[in-house]
Amino acid sequence: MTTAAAAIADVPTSRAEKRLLVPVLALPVLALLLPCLVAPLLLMIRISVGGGRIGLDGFTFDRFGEVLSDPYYLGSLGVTLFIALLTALGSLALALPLAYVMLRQPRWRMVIIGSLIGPLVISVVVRLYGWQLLLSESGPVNNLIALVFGDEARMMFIGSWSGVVITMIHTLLPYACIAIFNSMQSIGPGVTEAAQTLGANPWQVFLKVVLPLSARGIATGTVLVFALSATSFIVPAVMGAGRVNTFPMLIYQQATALNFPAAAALAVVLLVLLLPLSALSTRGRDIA
Amino acid sequence: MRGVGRLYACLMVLFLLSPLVVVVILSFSSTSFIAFPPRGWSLRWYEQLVEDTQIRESLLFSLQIAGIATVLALLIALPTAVLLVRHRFRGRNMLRALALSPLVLPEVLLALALLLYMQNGLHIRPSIWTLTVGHLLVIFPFSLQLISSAMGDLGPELEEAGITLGATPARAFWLIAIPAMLPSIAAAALFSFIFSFDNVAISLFLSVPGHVTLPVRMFELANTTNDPSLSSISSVLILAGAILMAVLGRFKLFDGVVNARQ
Repeated sequence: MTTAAAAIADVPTSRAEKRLLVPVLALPVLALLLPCLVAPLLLMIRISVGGGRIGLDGFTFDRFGEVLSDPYYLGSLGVTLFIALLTALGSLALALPLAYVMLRQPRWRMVIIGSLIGPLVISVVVRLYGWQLLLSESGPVNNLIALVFGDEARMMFIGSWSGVVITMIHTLLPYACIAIFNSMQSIGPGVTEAAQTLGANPWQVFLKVVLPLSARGIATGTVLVFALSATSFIVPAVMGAGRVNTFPMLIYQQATALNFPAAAALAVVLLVLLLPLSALSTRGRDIA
Repeated sequence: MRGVGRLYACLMVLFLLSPLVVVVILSFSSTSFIAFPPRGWSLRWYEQLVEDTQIRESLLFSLQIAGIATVLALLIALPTAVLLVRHRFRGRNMLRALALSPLVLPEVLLALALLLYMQNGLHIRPSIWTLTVGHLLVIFPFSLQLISSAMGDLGPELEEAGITLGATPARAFWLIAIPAMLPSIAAAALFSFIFSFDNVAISLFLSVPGHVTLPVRMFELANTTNDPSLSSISSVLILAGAILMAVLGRFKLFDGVVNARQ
């Protein structure tokens, strides 16, 4: 009886406390995000439509006109989307069977997860340096190609889109594979076992049961890789050797040339093109 | 099918690990040019690394930034997780979307926006603090996700029991929720630290005159040098990563990563 009475007596004070608690708890995150995230993004959008040397005078859409009519910018956008498409398709092709092996052969699961996540905790610069060594003109990959197809078959990976795509797939494969594996695992063992009991062979289980039921995760992973690839700065900066100028690299070049309005306009173009994709790929992810 | 799967898994593990293996092999080379396999073996690149004051300064600078950013990320993520998981209020979904938005925003955009804001909005010079804020924005959503999901799994029941038994809500949170979530908080700290330590894009845009983070210094060296000098510091970072993976596997913290980065 006494505890029940205490609980009832507790309600009004806790409600009043709660009304006070919400703003107090919200204070740190708002103090971080409003001045350091929202304000900078709004200013960037303002500068992209501003006139003058620093983009704070008047109002003009000229920069977007320049970006969207200049063959150099459009060519760069084309290369960026081409590399992103190849990366997404390549990651999908490699990740699908790998996720299926992880699902069907639990003994291999930890080895594969370790190999996927291990490189992620090591600096991306180290991984790119490794790929520079592997793909150089006299590196192991070209030595292997020369051994099989002869010396004249050696390829220039570094400074061309092929090297960028190979390295980009290596960098982003973990994201695709883990997204696909998670959605395959959520099917549950009962469904695949039922298919086997009813006489389906492993290929049929994969094609007719696992693939359709994990289609959502597969799509999410592929779109995520596309968006991450199209906005990656560091991979083309190292592997492109100055000859593959993707859109994010143009943004950096304009910013370091102190041409801020042009950089802001390029950034807004990238944002408008890719934000819907990123939002799509993270939709349904719930933290609470 | 089983054999094919195993063969495929072996090839993929080779693909995933080969760039790291090749760096470690090269670091023991004795020649000043890059050759595979190396023509001879030595520890000269490690000797050079020990004497390299620039690399040492960059390493210390990176550790400092990552340390400060991680502590700040945890201090902000904890109350935010309590707010988003335990309270229902108007604007909750909006706040959550805003807090997680750096995950969706391309890092280059975030970096450019911060640079423009500091130069043309606030008119402040780049400093260790502006760089730390940039890192904080990138790592904060990871901390928030890991801690929020731990708090969701824990549920409010244990704390409510503590309050019923006479503890104040703050005391119940400190003595019950925090210890119960300690593994997740540790994982959040670890990954925040790594993502800050490894960050290149933000550090490059917001570079502080006279101070260069380790990844940015290595990025510049990767584009300019043509000898194995970068391989020794890279191998040290690979060793650190391997030790970290062993620790993560030992304490079964993989689940946290897999879920946070999906």
